[in-house]
Amino acid sequence: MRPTQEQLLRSVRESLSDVVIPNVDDSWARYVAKGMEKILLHLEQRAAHEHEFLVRDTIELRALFTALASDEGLAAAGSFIPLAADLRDTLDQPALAEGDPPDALALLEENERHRALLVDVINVVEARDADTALAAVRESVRAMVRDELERDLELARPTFMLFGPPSTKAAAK
Amino acid sequence: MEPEVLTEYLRGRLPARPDLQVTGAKRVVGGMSRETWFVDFEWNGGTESESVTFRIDHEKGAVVPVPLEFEFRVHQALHGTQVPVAEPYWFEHDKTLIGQGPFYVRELVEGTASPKYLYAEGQEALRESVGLQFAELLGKVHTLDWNAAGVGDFMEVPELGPECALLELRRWQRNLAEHQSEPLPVAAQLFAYLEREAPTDVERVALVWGDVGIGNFIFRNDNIVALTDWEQSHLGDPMKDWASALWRGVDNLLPREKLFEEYERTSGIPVNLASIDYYLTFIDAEYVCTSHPILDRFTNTEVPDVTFARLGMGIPWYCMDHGMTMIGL
Repeated sequence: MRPTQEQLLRSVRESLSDVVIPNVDDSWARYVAKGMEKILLHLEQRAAHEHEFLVRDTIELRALFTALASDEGLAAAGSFIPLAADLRDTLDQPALAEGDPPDALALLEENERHRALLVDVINVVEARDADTALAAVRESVRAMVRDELERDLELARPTFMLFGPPSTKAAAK
Repeated sequence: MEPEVLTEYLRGRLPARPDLQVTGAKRVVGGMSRETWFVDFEWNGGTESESVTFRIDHEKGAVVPVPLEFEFRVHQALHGTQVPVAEPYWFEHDKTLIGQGPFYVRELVEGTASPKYLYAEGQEALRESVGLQFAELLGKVHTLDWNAAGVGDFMEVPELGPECALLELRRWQRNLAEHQSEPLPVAAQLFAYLEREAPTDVERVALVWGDVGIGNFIFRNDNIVALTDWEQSHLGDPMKDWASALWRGVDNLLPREKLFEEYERTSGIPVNLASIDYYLTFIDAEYVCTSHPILDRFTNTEVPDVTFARLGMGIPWYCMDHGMTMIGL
């Protein structure tokens, strides 16, 4: 079998880390090379997980939107009316994520359309923070946002850059 | 940066220094908002020498959405006040002068901003001393008569109260919205929290340094001699600076209680812990708003260099995770 994308990316990254970077004397050039190393790590993660994550994310978003579209508390919120129509329109369209394996770019675009709709949902339900009828909806939306973030972190973590140790006390809060 | 081009430029600016010759130009590794170069030059046949700092917009514009001239004006306003900053020399709009721009030149303050030196083994006494000085200097920033310094001429002035946070929040939200390459539900969640919880109890409208942390001040012979990185400064709640400082680990110099004690003793401004907690999340959101838009520069026809990709990915997701944790989600 020919080498996979992941294997080739790893090969490039390890050559960069083990051979090139130790021999770069210029500090700026070394900083750039280390940036390349991090992005290659990120690409390895994407090659391994992105397709699966996008499919799962879009399917979970559609399940959330289906529940929201029939939520009585949300339906009673005046500002929800235009959003309800957007939810129905989105759900009426068949999702690539639910069909045959689609092309990666189309899958990404579809997922981002769903995420944009989630942003609209957040803006409506969080603006009515005092509305107890929406408490359950808010909780399910917030849980979805955290789940999405966890998937994103799997891909983005190799690129993390810190410019100072974050306060451990604050982070533990 | 070609030494010949820099020599030509500096000769034009400093005609009284005969035979001026640039002897070195080194790009500083670290802060990515703009290019920073240390430039050395000598004159009088090499018998006299000086070094200056060049701050230059990247070829495709600045990373932080604040004009470079804003930073120059902050240095102009603060130099000579109780807040120590490098002296600004010249602001140049003309890109042809050095082949890149706009740019400005300022004094190169001798010393180091290196956290490595500060955290080296055996530097406990230095860390304590620098920590106490830092707390006192932060108080000096916050007690500065910013009106007298002319800062109110070019910074928006919020009303005392929630507007101190909300004015700034809206500025960063706008920047994200204008350069957003993908929808960010986490950012929407953080914004909702920040909008809802903006502190009402604000001691004073103060000059806020904005980008506070270890690495953003210069120390020499155990003394802090200059505060740097003013491009995100604004007028608002002084507690935001404490959040920024703690976010970047200033309490690794001294326990936060000691830092707060010194700040309150020297400035007279009470520390508001609830506000600091709020602003810790604000800092996360602000970093998302300043760094994620960098990815907008990747298009079908043009891509910036890889350091921009690293910055645009490496900061926002870290901060989104930290911010969500801070608000208990």
